[in-house]
Amino acid sequence: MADGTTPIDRLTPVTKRIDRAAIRLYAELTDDFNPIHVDPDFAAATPMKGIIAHGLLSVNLLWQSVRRSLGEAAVSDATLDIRFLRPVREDDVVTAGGQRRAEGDGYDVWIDNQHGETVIAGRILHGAGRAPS
Amino acid sequence: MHLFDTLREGAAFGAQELHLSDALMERWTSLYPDDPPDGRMPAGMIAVASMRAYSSLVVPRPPGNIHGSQRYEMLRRPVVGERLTTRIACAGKELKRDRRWVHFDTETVGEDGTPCFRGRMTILWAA
Repeated sequence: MADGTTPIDRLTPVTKRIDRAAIRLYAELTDDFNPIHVDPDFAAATPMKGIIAHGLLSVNLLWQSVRRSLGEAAVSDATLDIRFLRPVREDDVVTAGGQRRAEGDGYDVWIDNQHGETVIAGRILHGAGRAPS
Repeated sequence: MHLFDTLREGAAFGAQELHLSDALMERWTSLYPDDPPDGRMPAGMIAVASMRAYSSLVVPRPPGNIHGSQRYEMLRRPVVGERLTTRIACAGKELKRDRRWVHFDTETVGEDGTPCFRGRMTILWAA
């Protein structure tokens, strides 16, 4: 386990399959039953042409990647800022990771799907490097 | 129905309580078995507090809204068993290339009133 004091260039990747059961459970946990996540007929009629997962379902993998790489302190004192670039579809396998920023104030982070497409991207900053509110 | 045209910057939608109960934690770890059982809320559960507040308080919403971006600022990880309160307000809205974007700010405090985390979500509003 990292102690949070040693510079690490790349965050440890974390991977998860996002299946329908996971999407359903996340809807229950967050009370987010947007039909685009849980109603196949509704979702099929949208421009997404099918169910997509909650973006934040995958974002927990970023927190896990930071914790595994840098330790708990790096999670408890962090600002995460991300954009959802592409939908995560049922049964996609997503992988979260990150690269230390050249500025040294945190990490550029991303989540890729099994096709190598980036579905979520952003940055995580710690302590004094936090972005202004 | 909260439509883009009627949402007002600065509008407050109230507060939502979340009990970090053992049962809730068990459900979370059934989805994410690798999250640490250290007696504190896993960081990803910020989303549980913020999205429950959004889902429960910003209603009714047009179907088909899409989450565009999210910012979270972790100040402290609450302890399991704590009761959290999340407030949500409309931080603004903008029309860009015929797309309707709405920004919401959330702030979650613990039982003693001290802030635990803050968030800003940006939603592509369907109507």
